[in-house]
Amino acid sequence: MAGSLVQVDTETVTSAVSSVTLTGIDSDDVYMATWVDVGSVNDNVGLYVRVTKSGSADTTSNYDLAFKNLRVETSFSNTGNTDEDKLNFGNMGTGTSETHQGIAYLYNFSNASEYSFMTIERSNLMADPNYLYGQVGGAVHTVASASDGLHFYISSGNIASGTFTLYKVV
Amino acid sequence: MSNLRLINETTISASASTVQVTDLFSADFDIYKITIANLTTDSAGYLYGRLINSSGSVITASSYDNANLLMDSSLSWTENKSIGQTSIQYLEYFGTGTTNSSNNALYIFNPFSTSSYTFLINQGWGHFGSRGNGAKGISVLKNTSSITGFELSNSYNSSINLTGGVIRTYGLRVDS
Repeated sequence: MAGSLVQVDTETVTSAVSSVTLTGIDSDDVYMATWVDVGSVNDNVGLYVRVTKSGSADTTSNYDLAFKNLRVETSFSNTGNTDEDKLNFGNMGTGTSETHQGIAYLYNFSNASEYSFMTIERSNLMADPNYLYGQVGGAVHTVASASDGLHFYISSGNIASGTFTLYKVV
Repeated sequence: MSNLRLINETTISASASTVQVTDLFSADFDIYKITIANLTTDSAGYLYGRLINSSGSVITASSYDNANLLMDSSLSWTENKSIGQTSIQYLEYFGTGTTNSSNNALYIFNPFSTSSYTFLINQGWGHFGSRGNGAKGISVLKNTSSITGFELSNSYNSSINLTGGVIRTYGLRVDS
C-alpha cells in the first residue's frame, strides 16, 4: 500500500547512553526517521546528528544545511552553512520537556553514486528560559557513497531519554 | 502491516464553529500524524486549534506557545510568534468558496504522556481567491495533562463556521 511505513530500526533510551545509531537503510526507497522526547543528562547541551557509513558516524566536514528557524520569543531567522562536520539541532535542558522531537525524510542514502539528502522538521524546548524553538529545512552529506542510517549524540554528556525510530516509506 | 495506523477519519458534514475529534491518543503511540484535507469555511480566516484532555475538556488555559510562518504566494510572508496563548494559532489562512480550503499535515508528539508537554509540527497550504500561503510552524502545550483529542476552529470566532473537510489521524507504531 503506497504511503505505508515499515519499521527498520528503533531504540528507546531508558538509561543514559552516549549516542544512538539507527541503521538498516539498504534500498533506494525513501526512509523516515523520527525522534521524540529526547532529553539529556546535562543542562544546556546540543543534539547533533550525522549520517552513518557501514554503521559508523561520518565525521568528515561534508554536511551542508539550510534551515528556517522558528522562534516564539524573537524574529525568525535563517541558518545556512556548508562543510560542517555535523548537523546541530540546538540546545536543550533538563527541565520539564526541555527535549527534542522531529521528523526527517532521507533520500538517496543507499545510492553509492549520489549524495545523501534529508528534509527535516523539528522542535525543542531550549534550556532556561525554555522557549520553543524549531527548524524546517534540509541538509545534504556531500559525499557520493552509501549511507545506511543516522547517528544521534549530544555536545557534552549522555542522552537521558528518547525514542528513535527509522522507517522505510513504501 | 504498516506501522502507519489509521485511527480515525472524520468528515465534516454539518457546519459548526468548532470541530472536535476525540478518543484518538493513547499509550499505543508517541507520535501521531494528522492530515486535514479540503477544510472549508464560510468566512475567510485563520485556522486555530486546541487540545482536549482525557476528561473531555478543551484546554483553554494560556499555555500554548506558537511559531508559524505563513508564506504568501504573492505578498510578503508573515511571522506569527506568541507565548502563553489560549490556542494553537495561525496554522493556515483560508478563504470561502469551493476552490478555497486549508490543507495541512501535522505531527503531534507525546500527547498522552502525563510527564511531558505536547508538541506539534505543522505544514500546510491555504488558498483564498487568487492567492495562497504555505505554512510551516511549531507549537507546544506547556501542560502535562493527558491529551486524547483536539478541536479546530476558524479563529475561534463563534459566528464563523467550518463547513467541510476530511480529518484523518494516524499513529506511528513502534515495535520494540
